[in-house]
Amino acid sequence: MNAQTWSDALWALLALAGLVLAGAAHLPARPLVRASRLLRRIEASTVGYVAVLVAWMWLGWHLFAR
Amino acid sequence: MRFGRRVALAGAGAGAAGLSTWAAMTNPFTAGANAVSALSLFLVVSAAGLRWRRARTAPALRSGTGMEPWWPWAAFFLVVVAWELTCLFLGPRVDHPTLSSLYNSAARLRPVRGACFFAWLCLGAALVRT
Repeated sequence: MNAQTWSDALWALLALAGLVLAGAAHLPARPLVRASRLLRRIEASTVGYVAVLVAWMWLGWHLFAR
Repeated sequence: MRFGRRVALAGAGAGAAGLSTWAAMTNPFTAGANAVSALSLFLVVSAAGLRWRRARTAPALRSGTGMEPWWPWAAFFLVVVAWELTCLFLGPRVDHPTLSSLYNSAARLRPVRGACFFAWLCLGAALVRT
């Protein structure tokens, strides 16, 4: 396997891990918090809200304008 | 749901779809891409500013205090950020693609670009609704 294959495989593994975490958060036993609830907790403080908003702004500008 | 709220939601959805279509037709580093991105940023940040005074009374983020464990998400994002930085500095990009370069490859297809823009607007709308 070359470096590109390793990189792609790791990104795919991380994407799968994210899906597993999101799925696990929706199980009845709730082994971890849902991402949406976690985000709302972070946004509960003014500093957290501004940080999330700035991150959202940077993401959009970075992906779509630059 | 009240009628007025439904109309507002439908209008916002139509507006987002229009902006996404516009974004899908632009290329990065062009005036069109700058304009559609800047307009979207302005709309969402303005709406967020209008709701700025809303009370935010939820307790601080802590595991084990009325909330399920959040550390798996923190560990996950740490790994993602670590690998992103590794790819960023390791190079060349073709061997070690970053999330941005993966997105750029996918966004050569205009429908993908439009769908990503729409998803980004939905995230922005979720921030305003909070």
